[in-house]
Amino acid sequence: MKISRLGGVLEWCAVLILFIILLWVSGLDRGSFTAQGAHELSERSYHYGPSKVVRKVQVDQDTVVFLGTYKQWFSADTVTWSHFKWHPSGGVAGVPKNPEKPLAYSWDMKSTGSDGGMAKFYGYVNDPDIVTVELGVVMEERGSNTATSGSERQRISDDRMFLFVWKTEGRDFSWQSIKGLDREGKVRYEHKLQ
Amino acid sequence: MRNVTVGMMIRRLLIFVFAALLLFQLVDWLPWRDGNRLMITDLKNDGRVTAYPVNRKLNMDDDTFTLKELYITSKRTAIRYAYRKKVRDGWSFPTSSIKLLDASGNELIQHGASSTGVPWGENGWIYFDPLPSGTKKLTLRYDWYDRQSELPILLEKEESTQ
Repeated sequence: MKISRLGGVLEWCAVLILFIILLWVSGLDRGSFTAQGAHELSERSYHYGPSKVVRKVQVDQDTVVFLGTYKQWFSADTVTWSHFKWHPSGGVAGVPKNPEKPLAYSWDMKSTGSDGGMAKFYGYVNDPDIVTVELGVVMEERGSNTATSGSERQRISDDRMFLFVWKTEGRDFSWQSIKGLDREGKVRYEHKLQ
Repeated sequence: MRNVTVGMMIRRLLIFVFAALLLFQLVDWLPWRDGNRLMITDLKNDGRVTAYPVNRKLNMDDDTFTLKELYITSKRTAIRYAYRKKVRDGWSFPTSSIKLLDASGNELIQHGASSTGVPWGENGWIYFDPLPSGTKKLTLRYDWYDRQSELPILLEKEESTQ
């Protein structure tokens, strides 16, 4: 009886060890329990940064964007929650601030995915006289082929960064223009994107 | 007595299932299944392949990039690398950070890369322009944001690919 019990314990140990190896091998142990952890993991594995997070933008329950700067670059690293953990999901790459230009921008779009897709347009403002940025955008409903155009504005705060973000939800996005406005609302910088 | 048998059945079933799943995964990592032979066969389509064993390491933050071999054909230059990560998770290795410079410092254009992930990192190939004939030394440069390092490579010992 005693021997068979010992055998049982050993077999349960084997089950546990096999299970841990299986988790490791399959990659199911990936991800982080915190959004911050996933962001750090993202930058570390991309060999960029660690950036200084200037703003954390909670897009929705499952998506967080970390606006950050690192030396002469800026980034909008995005992490998403899936399978009970936070995972890197794009935007980790640093974009040059290009100090000789009034502002620098980048964008990325994921039209599908477990998170329903997301469109981001983000940037870094070098010109201290630009206090507002305005993005012209056309959104096209994929199902009904109806397009709506509009523009969105954002005030530039001390961190000099901006981020326009949408859940795509079956829409296609095309950028029309990016403008930088001064205190009087006059256009100091304009770049056509179409 | 009955409980003991049920417990035994459950744990043995679990052992069997887990072991079977592991085996499936392990088969993928058999050294002769890593696709290297296919790659070398593909290189041989270019004609004569000259292989140089290098086996030199570059430290990238806490990770290690090992340049295993360099292959030269008349149409391209290929390197085989192994990449070991301290923290296995996250993005795969950004291969565009790897540049090859010929003896006069000209950068060879990169034409693509392929890799296979393993839990401890990845193994892969990067392809570049052909080297000028008679090249005896070249430089592998790691250039990625504020990270830079170089690995001089002398092409001395050839290795048969037959």
